[in-house]
Amino acid sequence: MELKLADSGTAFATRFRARRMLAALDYEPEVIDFEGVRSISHSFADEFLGKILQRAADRGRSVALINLEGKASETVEEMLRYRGLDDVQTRLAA
Amino acid sequence: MTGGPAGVAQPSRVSCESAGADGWGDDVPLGETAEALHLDLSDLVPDQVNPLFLTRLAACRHQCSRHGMPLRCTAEAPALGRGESLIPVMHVTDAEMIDRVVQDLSTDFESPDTKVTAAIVNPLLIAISELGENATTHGASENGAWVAARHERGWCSVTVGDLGMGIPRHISKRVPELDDDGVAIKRAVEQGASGAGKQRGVGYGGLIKDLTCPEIDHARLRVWSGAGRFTVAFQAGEAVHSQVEAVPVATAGTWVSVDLSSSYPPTA
Repeated sequence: MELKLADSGTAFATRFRARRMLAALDYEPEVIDFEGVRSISHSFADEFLGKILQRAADRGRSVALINLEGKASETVEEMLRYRGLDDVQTRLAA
Repeated sequence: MTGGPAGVAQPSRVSCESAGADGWGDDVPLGETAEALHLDLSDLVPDQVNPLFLTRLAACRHQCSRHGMPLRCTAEAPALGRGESLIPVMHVTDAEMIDRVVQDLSTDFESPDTKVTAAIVNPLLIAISELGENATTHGASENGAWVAARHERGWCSVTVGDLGMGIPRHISKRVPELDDDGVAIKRAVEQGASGAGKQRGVGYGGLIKDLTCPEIDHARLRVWSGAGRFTVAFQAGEAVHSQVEAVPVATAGTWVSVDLSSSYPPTA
């Protein structure tokens, strides 16, 4: 299933928001679409995307991140490196 | 506080210098305990009052009220300069309020009259979310945090402050021999930026990464906590100036101000 982040807003910046969105997510997304996202913080990326991607990696599943550009892309890539998921991400993107 | 006859409280006079673009708001006392105050705000020029000054003023009111100490102001506190407020002074006490501020700022900042761009607003969002959330959710300050932001002709200024333990006391738990508050603040900021701190990639680290992004021409981060201050200025992504200061009067909590612009320094 695809998760369109823009359905929940355009700026994602707090761990609080990340936890609330995670709690409301009743499926495991296979695609996360960043189209329309204007701002994403390191904390949100770690708390929301990091946990989704970590969970998927632990289960050997893949999650595709699409329309991820500019500053948001840098932030997510840094979070992936910090969590040691950058190799996983490369595999997922292939 | 000005001097006077023994036993007679004299008004603490607020000067415009402390409220301007480069001021630290240090005319607004925020000590470990509140004391009776009489602040003379009549000389303040609303258009030139920075968010740091106004957030400290709001915190001072809160501190006096909480301790049952009288606070009398000669004039009304000015609002952020006429119609140029991105966020009026807000007292945020939980993460949900921080999130609401971020959402409002992210949708409201663009208008035909402003030169505020997405590149500029991103560091503002990071500052508010990282610093504000720390202050309200990690027990750093039982009083919450104060936030304000303004823009003027393409430059933006945001302040996040709290009355919590403060950086020097926090650092001294791990490094007790470090007794210079300004150096402690510098270390906290630099550890965040280098990724050497516990929370790599968040807090000051995430903030400085955004302040040094190519889209920001000029930026300045100022942090005041305890009896020390640390200032670092960036130009085109490079740190061009940094300064550690010791101040004679300590502040309660931590006060962080971020100024950024495509035409720094801001002119009033």
